[in-house]
Amino acid sequence: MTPLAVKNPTPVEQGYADAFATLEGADQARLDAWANFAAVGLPNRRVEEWKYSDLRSALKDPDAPLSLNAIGFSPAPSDRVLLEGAPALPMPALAASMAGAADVYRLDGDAEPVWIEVNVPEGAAHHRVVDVEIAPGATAMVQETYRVEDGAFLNLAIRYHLGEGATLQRIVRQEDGGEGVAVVTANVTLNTGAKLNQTTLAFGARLARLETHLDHAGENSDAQMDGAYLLTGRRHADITTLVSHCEPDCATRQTVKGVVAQRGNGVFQGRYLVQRAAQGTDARMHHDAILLDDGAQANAKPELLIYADDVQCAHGNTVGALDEDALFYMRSRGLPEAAARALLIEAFVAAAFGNVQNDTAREQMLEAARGWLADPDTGPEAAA
Amino acid sequence: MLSIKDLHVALDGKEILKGLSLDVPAGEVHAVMGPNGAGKSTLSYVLTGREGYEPSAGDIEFEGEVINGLSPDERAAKGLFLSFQYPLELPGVPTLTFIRTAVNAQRKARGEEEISAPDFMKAAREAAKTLRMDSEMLKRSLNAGFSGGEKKRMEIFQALLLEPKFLILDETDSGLDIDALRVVAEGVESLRNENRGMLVITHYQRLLDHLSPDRVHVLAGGRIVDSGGPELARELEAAGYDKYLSEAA
Repeated sequence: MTPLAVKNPTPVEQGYADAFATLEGADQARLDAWANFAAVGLPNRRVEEWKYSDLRSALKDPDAPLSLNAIGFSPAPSDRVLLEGAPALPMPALAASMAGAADVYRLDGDAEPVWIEVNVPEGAAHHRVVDVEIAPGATAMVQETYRVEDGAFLNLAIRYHLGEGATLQRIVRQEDGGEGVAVVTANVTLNTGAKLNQTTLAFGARLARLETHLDHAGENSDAQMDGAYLLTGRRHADITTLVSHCEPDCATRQTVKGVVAQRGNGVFQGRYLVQRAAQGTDARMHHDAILLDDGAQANAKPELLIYADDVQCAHGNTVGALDEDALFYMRSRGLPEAAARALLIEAFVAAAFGNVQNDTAREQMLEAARGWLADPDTGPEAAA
Repeated sequence: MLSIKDLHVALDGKEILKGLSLDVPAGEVHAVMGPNGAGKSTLSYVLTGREGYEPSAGDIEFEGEVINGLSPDERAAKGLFLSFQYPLELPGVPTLTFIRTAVNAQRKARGEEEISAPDFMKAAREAAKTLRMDSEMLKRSLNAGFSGGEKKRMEIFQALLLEPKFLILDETDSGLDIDALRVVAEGVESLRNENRGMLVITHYQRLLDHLSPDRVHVLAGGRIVDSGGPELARELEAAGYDKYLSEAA
């Protein structure tokens, strides 16, 4: 059966179409996944959700070989299963059509922390689907680390399903990706009383997009979704979150901090959709970015779509330069300019890590931020 | 110790200081008083090297060395300290971490050894006692959510730990109630010694009641228009600045 073609394909899209056409015995879910991808193709800036992150033009190499071993799991997943249904969004759909199966974790109350570490080598591509089921009442911690080398492409779709009263601490780190492309799409479902505590740290790449879709699917569920991006050179990082409040009395709080140097480009998109049934919603979104150089950019798109009347929703967004008054104050006490800037930036970024419950994980994120600030090659003082 | 010679400073093309000269010898406390808009805060920023406040003419000499071209942190390491009229809030920057970093940055610049954590903590406890400060205040981010009075107290706390050679107090009395003013004045007084100079920039007589300056200067229209003993401050409090304003204009 000939798969659906992408309209006016780019060489990369054609490459995927060719690869998919040679697959034998693809099941219906996989065919559907391909069809969902092919209908849209690689998202570009004419697609509203991707207008600040043009994936189609960022992906250039049609011959990137698939690297199957780029991922490391600890401990090993519980299972690997064929897809049940196809993702609707184009990038998870592409991941599903290429991967054909999902690695599944079933975490109960005694689960040890899970590490998912992906290193996509130079010029290679990696597509992966991961499913994480967290049993009712269980507490889980998952740390994801993503690294793409020059010319590499990572496309990972991860689904989290939290049972009633379950708690997830999710920590996502996208390491400096130079000229690579990383797209990680998470779909998180919270059942009644479930709690998500997510912290994302991105150092950017040619294009890095960390997207989280969150459904409050049960009453009294609670989400803290914080993040930070630290960018220099021409790196691009996009933190996109789409939160859907479908049930009453759920809460979402979000603090995202960005620091952009040189010609870096930070993107924050946050959408809260509060449906008619979601009375008693408490949803707060805050994004602040500091631009350190004239060529630095931050694009922010906060959206609140509210169809219920008894709710508290707020968003705040600031983009500005480092506070010169504060810098002078610190320098007048004897701190050299670079030290004053670093201390000020660190304090600004640290606010995004304040809700990480695990002390070690929080300290590691702070250390990574400090390392970035101090690194003459990739930090804010690096040559463009 | 601090010698300002014919200092001219313009901001946005408008001359604010128009040939200001002033000498503060070591061991003396001098007050600079003047009406609003006389250039008092400009003077404090020029002395401490704030960007945009570079003199267009004249010299600032500190201990015999012209410091016009030095950065704020270099001046701090030489021993200049400015107590800000409006101290900045630094959310996320822990108070003691900040001050210890500053102490050590200054020491490093002077080629001295860093202060050890126990020695620093001991000094911090003593300074807090002098200023009757709650130790809870020291655990918070620097000045974050502090009242105006608490911020002023924190400025003097920093001075006690940094042990500068020369203090510039810019409207340190504003925002303080009577009790806080006394405590802050005591803190400043404890820093007074024969090697240390002070310049107290103020609109009012209040702080001077506690500090009894050696000399009082009147700053109006961008220069020192009158100088005298402590009695001059009391005269100003009674008669106001009108006569200087008409002269300056």
